[in-house]
Amino acid sequence: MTVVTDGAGVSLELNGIVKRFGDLTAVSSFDISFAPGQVHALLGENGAGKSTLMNVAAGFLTPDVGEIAVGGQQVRFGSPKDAIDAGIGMVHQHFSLVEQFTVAQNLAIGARDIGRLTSTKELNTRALEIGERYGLKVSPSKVVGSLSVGEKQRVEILRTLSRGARVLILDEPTAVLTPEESEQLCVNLRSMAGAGATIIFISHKLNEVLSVADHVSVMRGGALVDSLERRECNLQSLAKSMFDDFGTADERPRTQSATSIGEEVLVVRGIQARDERGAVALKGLSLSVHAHEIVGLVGVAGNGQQELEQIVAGIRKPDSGTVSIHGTQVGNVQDALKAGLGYIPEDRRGTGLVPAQPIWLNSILRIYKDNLVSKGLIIKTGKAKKYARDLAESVNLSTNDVTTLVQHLSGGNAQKLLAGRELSGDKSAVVAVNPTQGLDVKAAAAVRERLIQAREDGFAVLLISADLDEVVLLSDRIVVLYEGSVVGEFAAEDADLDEIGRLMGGETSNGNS
Amino acid sequence: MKESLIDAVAVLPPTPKRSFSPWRIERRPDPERISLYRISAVLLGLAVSLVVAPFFTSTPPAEFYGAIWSGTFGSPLGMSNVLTIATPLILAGLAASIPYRLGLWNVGIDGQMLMGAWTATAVAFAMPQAPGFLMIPTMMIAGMIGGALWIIIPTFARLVLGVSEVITTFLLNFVAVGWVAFWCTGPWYPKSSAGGVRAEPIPIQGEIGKMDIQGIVVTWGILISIALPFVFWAAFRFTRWGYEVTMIGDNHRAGRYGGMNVRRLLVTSMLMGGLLAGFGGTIYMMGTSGQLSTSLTNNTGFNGLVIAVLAGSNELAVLALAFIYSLLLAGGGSLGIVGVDSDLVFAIIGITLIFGSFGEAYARLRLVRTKSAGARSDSKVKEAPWTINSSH
Repeated sequence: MTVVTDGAGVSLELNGIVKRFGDLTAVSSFDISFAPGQVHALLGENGAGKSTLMNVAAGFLTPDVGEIAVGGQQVRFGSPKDAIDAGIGMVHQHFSLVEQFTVAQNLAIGARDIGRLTSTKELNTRALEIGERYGLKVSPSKVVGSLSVGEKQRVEILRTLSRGARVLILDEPTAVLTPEESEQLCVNLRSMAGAGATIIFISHKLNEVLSVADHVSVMRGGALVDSLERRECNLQSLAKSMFDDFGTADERPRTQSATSIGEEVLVVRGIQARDERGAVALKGLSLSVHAHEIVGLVGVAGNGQQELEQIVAGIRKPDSGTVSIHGTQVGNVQDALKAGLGYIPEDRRGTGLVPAQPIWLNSILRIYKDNLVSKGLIIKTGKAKKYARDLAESVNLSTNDVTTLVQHLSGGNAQKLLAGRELSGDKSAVVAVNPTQGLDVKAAAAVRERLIQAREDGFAVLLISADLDEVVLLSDRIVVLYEGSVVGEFAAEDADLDEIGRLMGGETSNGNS
Repeated sequence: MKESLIDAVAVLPPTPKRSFSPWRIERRPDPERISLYRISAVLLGLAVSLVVAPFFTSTPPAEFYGAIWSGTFGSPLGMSNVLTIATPLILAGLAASIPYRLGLWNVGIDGQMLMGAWTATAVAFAMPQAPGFLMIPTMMIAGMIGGALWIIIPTFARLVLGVSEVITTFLLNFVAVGWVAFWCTGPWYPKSSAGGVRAEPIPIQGEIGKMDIQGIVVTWGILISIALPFVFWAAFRFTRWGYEVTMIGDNHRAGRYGGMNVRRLLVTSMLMGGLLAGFGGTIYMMGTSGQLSTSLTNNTGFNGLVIAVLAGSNELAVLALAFIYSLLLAGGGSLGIVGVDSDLVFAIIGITLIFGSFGEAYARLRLVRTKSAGARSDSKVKEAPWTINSSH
């Protein structure tokens, strides 16, 4: 089966694009170009700016500065429609299909070659033709909601192509697919590129990029750090540029504990768990964190981190295995709280805080049953507000008016509030997930400072982070997670970062996988 | 030369299209005064429809407004009527409002009211000789239990099987009507029927007493109805339960993270809704109708739902809106006496509610003048750093 696109692809050039969100610069000025007839992979960790850059290219975001050229012509996009008119189409991770409609109806949305009144039969014929033209098989009369994720993605790609896309951008297309579906997608993409299309493939999976791409560009922290032909790169070099320009062990700044580590506090034993789709996410994982110790858990996103953090915090139940804190087994959130576990989730506004509510209500989210702020069934509002004021003061919040809604706090202040809350009170362990993600340098430093302080205070800190720099900076011990198992463990002083990068990419400790 | 020009045109990129209007709709950053906007909008709608309405009827304006005035504030009878209508309506509003805080729709209030009244009647008939001080509280408690039982199936169908409570609560309304009709035409068939599907009146000592305040005659049930919104208002501010509902209502993941039992809260708030509805039906029967009938609720449940949605998680707004709604119903009723078509009354209510929903939209959204069509910066995009890589 050959997959083709209409006519030849066109080149896409992005010159000096800058995109800021508040204080955060998501993409900082650089030039990059994408040639027709190639699969060009854009590689980088979460938050590296890949998606932002491509959302600019596809008209979903307007750049603050910078120019876009299609086929050598300057263009300006006011909307995704302008971009698709210029031949640039993007397929997002979350599909924009109408689940209740059939495949044919979905393909008709936004199409300009059909009239206002078109029969179902005509739509079905048209869908079949589109499928044949681009070489992607679909069943026109099936309702999209009943399709597998891979099939939905095929419909989404077809729709983008049928609207005239000659540059096809795919944002982490394999994140939602099964391995077989991923493989099929890669075959299709190669075939499209072979027919002359320009394919841009956003990913953070090294192996996948190496198998599908002709050209690989690596982004980190909003900047382009590498742009290489496939033959010029290998797993190790890509891991290196994706995560860091690793210095030697001695040059690295570190903040390891002055105090020697204490007893085991947080112990995870033989955890097995599944993700939402029922696939195995954790394969009998065990680890332990001691008092006065920060353990950094590193791994490419989606290798079981989320399941692990939720199980440790008592929010999710494992299929088997135990979590204990100071020897007390933890089965739910209340257990974990009583045992003295703080939890700084990654999604601070979606999980850790309730943005539409004021600071004081958020301050007591995890202690509202405590006698400190409640008596029987009554919340002592005066005490709660006092508690919130003290908390706000202790973390140097930008405001001391605790009736301010959390949604009005900056990202840094929201995180200070969250981290402060999770580290205060009678606690002895904390799980922090990407605690500085999306924060400006100053706010990030404040949060790191707080974690270091916690270690000095005798906390057992489990730091789950996608930011290797941060992990190296803070951790006493580094544990590498790959596909739900611990694949490597290093003491901070003799951590070989090249080795860590390879292990994260899925290579076994000795040689290629 | 000509050919190359065509080529150039062919690859010319599209010029960015301007949107039709220099205005665009944007989400307000902090929709805090939502209830205020809603109530003002309802009052504005009321004013507009009252000004316009006389043009659509042959009744002279003086007579038109006179009828409305005397049907509401203008006479003790009118005021009695308003408060009598408000008594169950406030409770129905609360019955919808409390589950709504957690995003649950109680569309079965009429059915729960009927079942509450039925249970209370059954209790009354089972103890016909009991004195009033025993019968009245027993009936009230029975009414609450009856209403709460009627929402149990939808609640657990939702929790266990994921069946939408909108459908189940709604359809159970019809079951309740059928059930009540059976008892009214069978076991409780009245000794002297006065038309309609009505049961034998409840024992006289089971009726709740009436107050007479300068000619305004109303059962003391109104006092409970007025007090309850304040009780709930306080409960949402000062109790653990209220705190849990508030936080989960805005972000259920945060609730789970805070160690709250989200499922238990869903159950309690739904049962609370059914209980309030059952109580509303019971109190209306015990104070006003004096007997069970299939038309006991007269759509009070659906009106309560409308009120709850407009009031948006504010129990005091439920009270205010229920009162305004009662004015409309009472005033509209008296228009019939002077020969105004009842359709016009429904039109007035409809227009008022449409204004109310505009008020809701206005409270959440605002019109902003765009600087240029190309520069789009909606708040969603600004949120991107928080959401971009957190797909769960």
